[in-house]
Amino acid sequence: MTTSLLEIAKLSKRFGGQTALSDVDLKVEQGEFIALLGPSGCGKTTLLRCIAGFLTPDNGSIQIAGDDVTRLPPYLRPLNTVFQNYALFPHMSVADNVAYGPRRKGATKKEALLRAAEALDLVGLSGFADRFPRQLSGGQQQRVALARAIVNRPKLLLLDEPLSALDLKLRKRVQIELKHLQEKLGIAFVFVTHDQEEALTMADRVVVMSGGRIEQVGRGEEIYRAPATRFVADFIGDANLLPCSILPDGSLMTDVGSLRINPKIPPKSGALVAVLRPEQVSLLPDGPMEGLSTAPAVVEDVIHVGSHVIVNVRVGDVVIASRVSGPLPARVVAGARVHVGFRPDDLHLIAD
Amino acid sequence: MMALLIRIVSFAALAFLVLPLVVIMGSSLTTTSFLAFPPQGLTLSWFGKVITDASYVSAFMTSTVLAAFATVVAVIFAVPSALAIARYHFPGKRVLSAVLMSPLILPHVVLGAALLQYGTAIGLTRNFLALLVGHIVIITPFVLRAVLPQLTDEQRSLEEASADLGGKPVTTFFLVTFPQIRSGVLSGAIFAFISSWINVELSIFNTTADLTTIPVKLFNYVQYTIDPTIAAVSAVTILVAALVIIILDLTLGLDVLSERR
Amino acid sequence: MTPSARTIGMLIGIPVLFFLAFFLFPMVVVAVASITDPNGGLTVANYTRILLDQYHWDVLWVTFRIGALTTIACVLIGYPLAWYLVRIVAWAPWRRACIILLIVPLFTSNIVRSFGWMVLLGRNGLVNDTLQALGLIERPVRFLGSELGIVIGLVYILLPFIVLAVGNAVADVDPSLEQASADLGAHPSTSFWTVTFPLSLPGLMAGTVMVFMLAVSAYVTPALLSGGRITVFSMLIFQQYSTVFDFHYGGALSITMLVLTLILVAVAGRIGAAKGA
Repeated sequence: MTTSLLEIAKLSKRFGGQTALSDVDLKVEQGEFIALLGPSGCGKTTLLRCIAGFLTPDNGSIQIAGDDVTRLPPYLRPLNTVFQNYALFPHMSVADNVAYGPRRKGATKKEALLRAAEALDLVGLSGFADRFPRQLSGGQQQRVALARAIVNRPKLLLLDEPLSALDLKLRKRVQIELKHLQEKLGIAFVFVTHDQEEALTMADRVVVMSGGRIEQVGRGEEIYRAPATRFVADFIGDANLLPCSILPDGSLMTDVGSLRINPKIPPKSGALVAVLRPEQVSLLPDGPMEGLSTAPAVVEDVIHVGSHVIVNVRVGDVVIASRVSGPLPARVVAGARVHVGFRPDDLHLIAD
Repeated sequence: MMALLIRIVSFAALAFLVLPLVVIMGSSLTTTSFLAFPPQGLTLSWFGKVITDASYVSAFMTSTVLAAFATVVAVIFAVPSALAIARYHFPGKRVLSAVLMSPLILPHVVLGAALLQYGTAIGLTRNFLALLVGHIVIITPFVLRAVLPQLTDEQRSLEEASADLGGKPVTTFFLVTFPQIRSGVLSGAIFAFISSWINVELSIFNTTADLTTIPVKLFNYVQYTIDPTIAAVSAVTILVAALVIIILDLTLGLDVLSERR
Repeated sequence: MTPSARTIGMLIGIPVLFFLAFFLFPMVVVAVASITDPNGGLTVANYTRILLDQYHWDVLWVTFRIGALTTIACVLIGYPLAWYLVRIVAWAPWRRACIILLIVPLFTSNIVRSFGWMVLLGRNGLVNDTLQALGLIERPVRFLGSELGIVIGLVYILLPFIVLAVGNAVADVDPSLEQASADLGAHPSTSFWTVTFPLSLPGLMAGTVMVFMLAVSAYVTPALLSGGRITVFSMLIFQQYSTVFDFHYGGALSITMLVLTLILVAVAGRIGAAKGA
């Protein structure tokens, strides 16, 4: 059995009365791109700082390449960090910033500057060696921070929301460049973000966190298609969450009519929630359709979002969102009576 | 261990800082007629001697009244100047700012000498007014320095809002601007008052046997004899200073006292 | 808001007149006196007297030496104390108490503080008694009337300035920079010398220049702790105005000190600008 590059076991951390991390387990393999995703306060940054060594956990262990580093100070851990505010040394030139790591590890000034030049090349900042951080734009500073981290060829790189300060267009471009760089260098990335699109685009696996716990770990599409908890279903993408229960005769009762379907997963006893993505909910202006589970509904809002239309319909007590690409029949306006339907197979059940 | 060394130096430095104050306060209580520390016996008679000594009482009044007048004038000078510097552009603004702040860095001895020489020529020496004039010059920068940083740009937009709503400039000042700079005026005024009260180098040029401040009186006295009287007076000034600072810390917070703020 | 000359005039008119009359003009009077002789003619004799007299050079040298020693001592004691207060003390009430302890001396008069040292450093004072009791010396050391005594007194008065300057400078250093340094493999002491200390330098330099300026222009403390045996420059100036009454010569001395101060301020400004502060 090979050991993972990074193994976190039962990690916990409290600040005063608040629990920041609770029993966190995670394994990261060589060369993987992992995203830690969640809202503010979910513990993703705390987890990152524990891995980096800026925080000491109360319980649990962190192992890197088989060595227990839980209580090692940051300067002895075989990893590097890209900080959210870049943390470039303002009194040193770009070259000296990037050469800092190699110098600390014993390289001569000449060697260190050479390796710095290589790293700056990799991030596309070749001519910038003699500039100072205050002379650079946000995007350029971010690249210097990256170069400074990767010049040491760490096996593991931690990135704390490194793109959050960049504007949208630049961010999208850098996302692609980062991904390419990661693949090229074969470094494992642990990337903290609150932006789910960013996480889903870049990561091999996404770790969704909330309230100090890991809600789900998996590939982006897995998490989207089959969220494990209500939180994940709600947080990732848009979702219609329908409380439901199993009737004595085995059929599933939701507000969207009563359905006779076999649940995909054996339900645990207790409350169930069915997840339907808006694109899985079909708007049926002309009445029920064969093969779909349907229910009558009244249109509440029609929201045009450029590439598609979101139609909110009321079914009984519940409002469901339906995503319609393509042209909308003229009679679909607020107050119109329609039907909505979905394929029973698309229904995904979660224990609440 | 570096941390240990730093702690040792720090504790030594803190002890160094408190030592003279403790010695002065302790020796003011001695029953002997010469200074002794630790004090031999405990008595408050030296304090009694000072309070009943008319020359000390008079010097105390002079110090306090002088500081009070000087502070009031300093505030009257500094606040409008701060407004002008922060809100307007005019030729010579930089020079004005530099000139108003420069007494902070220029030697008081030189200033005192200049005022004495100039005063001699125009008949303004060795009286209360001569003292007052010098004190105003050296303490105005304290108020200016404390108020200027509080006249920020956010502050400005509040004033513009007030004008937009029909407030005349004077009204805007009293209802909008002043509440925002109040703490700066207060902390600056306190610093100014204290600086005036404890001043020696400037005051010695214009004091006489009849018109003197406590610090100058002590300065003259101590060059001829050292006895517990001086310790008693000094002890009182130390206690008052400590009281003022503690009250400031509890109300405004000590950040306000920081040199650079 | 369009500034009218009238508004500005009303705001700064009186302060400007006051400072012209009672600050700038007196300085001019002194400057003029320094280049005139008692008969009213122009002369540089006052300055040549300063420059050519060995006595003045001695006094200047002593003043400078005392100033330098004071400044060095303040930095060596003040930086660690500032670091302690900003970085090491975890319990806020203790830090506040220490800061109060630091500032109380600032609010007491020079004379009171110097008096305290006159008592402590006397032949039979606490310092000599303690040193003898500890067996470190056999006979009392002469502190009063020595440069060491004056330096001790001046360090006492000027230490808080350095601590406040350095404290602010250190507190302003972004903690993420030190974390980045550690992340890149630097031992804490390396992080200090390569990252924190350089970034605190502008604040430290500003405090250092201020302390030096105050030390070389000090009057009360050297006067009281010199025991009549040591003369510093400010004492020379005061003599001219209180006993000798030679305003021409005194003027030249004053202008000399003024120029020295202004040079120091300019140097400090240069250092500040160079560091990009």
